[in-house]
Amino acid sequence: MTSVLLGVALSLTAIVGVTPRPASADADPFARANDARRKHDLATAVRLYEEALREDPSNGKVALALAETLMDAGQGPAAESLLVRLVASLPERPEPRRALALAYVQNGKASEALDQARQAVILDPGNLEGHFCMGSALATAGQLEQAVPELEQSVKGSPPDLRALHRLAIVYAALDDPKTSETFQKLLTLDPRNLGARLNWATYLWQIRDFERGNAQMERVLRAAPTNLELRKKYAASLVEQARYSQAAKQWEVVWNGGSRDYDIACSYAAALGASGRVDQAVRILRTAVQIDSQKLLAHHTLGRLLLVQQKAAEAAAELEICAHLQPGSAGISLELGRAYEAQEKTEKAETAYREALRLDPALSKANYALGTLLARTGRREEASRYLAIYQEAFQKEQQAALAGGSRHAEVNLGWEELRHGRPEQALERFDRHPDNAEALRGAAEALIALHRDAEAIRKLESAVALAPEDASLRYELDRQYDRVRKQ
Amino acid sequence: MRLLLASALAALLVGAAVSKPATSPAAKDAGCPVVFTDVAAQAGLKFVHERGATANHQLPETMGSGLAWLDYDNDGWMDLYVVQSGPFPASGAARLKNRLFHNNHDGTFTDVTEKAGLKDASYGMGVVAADYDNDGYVDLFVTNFGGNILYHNNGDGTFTDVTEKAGVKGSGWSTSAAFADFDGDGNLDLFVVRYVDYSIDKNYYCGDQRKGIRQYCSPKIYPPISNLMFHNNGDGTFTDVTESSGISKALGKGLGVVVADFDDDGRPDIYVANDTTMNFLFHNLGGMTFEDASLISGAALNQSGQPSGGMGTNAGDLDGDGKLDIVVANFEAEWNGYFRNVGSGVFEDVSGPSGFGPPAYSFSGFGLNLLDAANAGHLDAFIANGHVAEAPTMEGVTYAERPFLMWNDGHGKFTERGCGAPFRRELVGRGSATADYDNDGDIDIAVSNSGGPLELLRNDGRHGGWIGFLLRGHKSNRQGIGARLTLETEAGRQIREVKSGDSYLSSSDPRVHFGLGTAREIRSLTIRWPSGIVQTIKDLTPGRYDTIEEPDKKP
Repeated sequence: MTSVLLGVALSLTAIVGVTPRPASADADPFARANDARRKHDLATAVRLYEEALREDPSNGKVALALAETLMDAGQGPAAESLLVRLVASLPERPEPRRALALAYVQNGKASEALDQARQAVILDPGNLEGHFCMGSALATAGQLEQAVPELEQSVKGSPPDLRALHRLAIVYAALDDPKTSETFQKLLTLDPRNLGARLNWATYLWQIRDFERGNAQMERVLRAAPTNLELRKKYAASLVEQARYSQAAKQWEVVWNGGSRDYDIACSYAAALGASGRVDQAVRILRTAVQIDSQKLLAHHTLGRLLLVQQKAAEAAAELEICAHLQPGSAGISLELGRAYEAQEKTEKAETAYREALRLDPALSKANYALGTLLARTGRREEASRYLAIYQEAFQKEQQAALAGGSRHAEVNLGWEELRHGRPEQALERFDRHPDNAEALRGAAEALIALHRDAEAIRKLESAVALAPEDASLRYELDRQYDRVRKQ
Repeated sequence: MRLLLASALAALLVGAAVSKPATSPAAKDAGCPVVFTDVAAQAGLKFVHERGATANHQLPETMGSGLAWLDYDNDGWMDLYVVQSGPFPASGAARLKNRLFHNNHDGTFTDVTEKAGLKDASYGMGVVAADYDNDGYVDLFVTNFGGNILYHNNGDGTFTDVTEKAGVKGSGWSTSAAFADFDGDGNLDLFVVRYVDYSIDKNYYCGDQRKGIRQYCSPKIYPPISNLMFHNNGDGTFTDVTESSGISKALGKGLGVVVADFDDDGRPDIYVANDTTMNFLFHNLGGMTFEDASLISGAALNQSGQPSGGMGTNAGDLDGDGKLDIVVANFEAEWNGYFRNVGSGVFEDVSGPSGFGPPAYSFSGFGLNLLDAANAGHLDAFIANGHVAEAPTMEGVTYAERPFLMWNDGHGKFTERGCGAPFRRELVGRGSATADYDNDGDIDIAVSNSGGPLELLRNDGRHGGWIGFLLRGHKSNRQGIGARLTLETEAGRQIREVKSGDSYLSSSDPRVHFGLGTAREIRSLTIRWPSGIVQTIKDLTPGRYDTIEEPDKKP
C-alpha cells in the first residue's frame, strides 16, 4: 500500500507542481520571465528565460531558473540536459547540482539523483535545500526511512520550504507515519491553494480508510477545479472502492455529461449505477458502451449480468453468448450462461453450459454447485451428490480460511486496544498467539517496549520484517528501535 | 480502468442493490386492503427491550430478542410472553425480566409475570411455547446466552422452572427453538438452534481500532457450533440425542428454525437459517435420526451458491401448489430468500423472479412471518428489519429500519407495500410472531425491537372470509403440532401445518387460520395428524375458530 501511495503522490506532485518563489518585475527578459513564472505562465517564462540566456549565455542564474521552470512545466529531460551542461561548467557550485538532483528525481533516475545530492551537500553542508534534494533523492531510491531525517531537516526554515513540507508529508504517508495528517494540515494552512497537496492528503486519507475526511478534502479540490474531469474520475473511482455507489454514479455522471464518453467511462458509470440500484439506467449506458465498441468484453458481460438481475433471461443469454464468443474458454462465462439458460427453463442447455464450465475449470466450485442442484431438481440425485460433495469441500475450506483470517485480525486489534489501555502483558499474550503474522509481531514488539524488554522487541520486529519485507513502515519501526537501543 | 470497476462489479455479482425507497406521505395507505396500527401502548403492553449495549460491543447485545403467543390459561385468548435481554453478561437479580402479559379479552393485557412465578436471571434470546408434557397446558422454553430454561405450566396460572429435571439446559449461545414430535411417539421433542462458539473473553475488537471505532464483530470470525436435539422421554424428562440423531455433524451459525414436512413423507423435517454459512435442511429419516440434506435440497445457498446472513425463517405454501416452500430473512447486501419446493425434498431459489428477495437488499431482515393479511386465501409475509451495527457502513443503510409487508398475488409473486404507520416507522426489528389476539378473524403481529418498544400491530380493514382451527391431539401430541391441514373451497386448496417455533427467536399462535377470500363454501378440511391418522371434516362454518379433536382412527 505504502509504495503505491508514494508512486501516486510523487507523480501528482509533478503534475500539479510547486508554487514558485516570487520575483520582482523588471523590464529585462529575466525579470519578466521571473514574473511570468510567479504567475504560473510557464510557457512565457520559458520563452523569456531562453531569450535572456541568448543575451547572456554564460549567466548561470538564468540557466538555473530556466531549468527549474522546465521542471515545473514537466519537461524533465530538457531540464536535465541543460543542468548537466551547467554542472559541467560550474562544478564547484552547489546550486546546479541541487537542481540537477531534483531533475533526476523527476526523471526517475534515483542513483544519479543521489550522487548529485551528495555532492551538493558536500559543497554546502548547511543548506536546507540540499537536505531537500537529498531527502527527495533517497525517497526516489526507495530509502524512505533515510529520507525522513533529511526532509525533516529541510523544513526547518522559517517559513518552511513548502516543496519540502509537501515531500515530507508524502514520505510520511508512504511510511504510514502518524505525523502524516498534521504535516499535510500544516502545509495546507501555509498554502491553502495547493491542490496537489490537498489531493495527496485526500488520497492518503482514503488509503487509511478515513473516507469522510478524505472525501471532504477531495470535495474542496473539486470546488477549486470543477471542470477537471481527471480529478472527478479519480474521486469516482475512490467512491466505488468505498462502496459509495450512488455518490460514485453522480461523479461519473458529471464526467459523462462533460463529454468524456469513452468505453471505459461508460463501463465504470454503468457499474456504479447498477450497484446503486439504478439498473435501468445502467443497462442504457452499457448499450451505449456496446455501440462504442462491440468487440470488447466488459460491457457485454456486465450487461448480461444486469439483465439477469432484471429477470430478462433471454436478453442476458444473448449478451453472455457474445461474451463466450469474445472470450472462448472462460469457465466463468459458461457458468453464467448456464444460469441464464436455467432462468429460461432451458434445462438441457443449462446443463451443457455447466458441464462445459467444469471441463474448462474443474476447480470452479460454483459450477459444481450449479450442476449439482440442477441434477437434483431433475431427479438425478446420485450424480448430483457427487458434484455437491466437491462443492461442499471447497466451501468448507473457504469458510475455514475466512474464519482463521477474520479471527486473527480481530484478535490482533483487541491486542492493540489492550495496549492502548495500558495492559501490555495481556496484549503480548494475545499477539503471541499469532507468531506468523507481521501485524501481531509489530504489536508484540510494542508491548515488549512498554514492558522495557527492548532486545526482545527488536527480535519481534526483525521477524515481522522477514515476514513482510515490502512493508516500509515495519522497516522504519525497526530502524527507530535500533536507534533507540543504541542511544541507551 | 478495470481495477476501478472491481468493487462495483462485485456488488453486481450478488445482485444489484435496490434503492431504499422513500415513503411518500401522500401515498400512505391508499389502496391497502388492510391497515396495521401499533396498539401496544393502549393495550397495556409496556415493554422496552434493553439490549445492554456497552462500549465493548459484545455480540449478543445486538441479537435479541423474541416473543411467543400462547394461551397459557386455556381461556381461548392469546397471551404474550416477551423475552428481555440486557445487561450483558446477565448480572443476577437486579436485571430486567422477561414478561408475561395476560389477554383481558377486551384488547388489553395485564402483566402477570410476578404472579406467574416467571423468574430468570439470564441474558434472554428467544422463546417457544408448547405443551411438552401433554397435560393440556402450554409450557415455555426460553433460550438464553448461557443455560436455557424450561417452564412447566402448573395449570393454575403459575409456572415452575423444571430445566434441571427435564435436562434441557444446554450450553453456549442458544437462539431459536422448536418443538415437534420427530419420532412419532406422541411426545414433543425439542430442537434448539445455537449461534456461534462465543464467550466473553472471545470478544475481539472489530471496527477501526486506529480510530477507536468499535463495532460488533461479524459471526464469520467465530467458529460454528452444532444445534441441539432433545428426545422427549414422555415422563417430563428429555435425553440429549444431538449425537445419535446425526444433528451434531452439521456445524453452523444458526439463528432461525422452522419445522415442517417438506417432502410430504409424514415426518417433520428441520430447516435452520444460518448466518454467513449455508442453511441446513435436516431430513427426518425416522427413529429420531436425520440426514443432512442441505446441499442436495437446493435450499442451503442462494442461486449463485453463496451463503447468506440468514436470520429468521418460515415455511408455507406460497404458490398454491400444495407443497411447503421456505423463506429466509437475510442480512444487508443480500436478497431475502424464497426457496420454492419442487417436490421430493428439492427446492429452487426463486428469490429474484418472485419479487420476494430484491426489496431486501438495503435492509437486514430478522423476524419473518407468513400470514394471510387480508384473508385473501393465500399467505403474505411480514418481515421485521433492523441492522446490527449502530452505524452501518453500507451506503444508504441505517440502523433502524422499517418493516416489510410482502403481498402475495396468490401464485408466489410478491410486492413490498407497507400498510399503516408501523411500516413507516424505523426501529431495530428482531423477533416477530403472529396471532389473532382479539379473535376477530384476522392476523395481528407482535414485534420485539432491539433496544426499543414492543409493538402490537393490529390488523384492521376489509377482509375476506376466514376460518380457524385449534387442534386437540390424543394419540398425537396434545396440540397437534406437525399436523397438516388441507382446506378445500371452491376457490381451491390451501395447506398449513401446525408449528411451534418459527420466524426469529419466536413462536406464533398455534391455531391454524385460513383466509377464504371470496369463497363462500368450504368443501372439506382434511387433517393428517402426526400419528398418521387422517381425518376429513365437512359442513364447516366460516367466521369462527373450531376445536378439532383427533379421532381414535380414521373415521
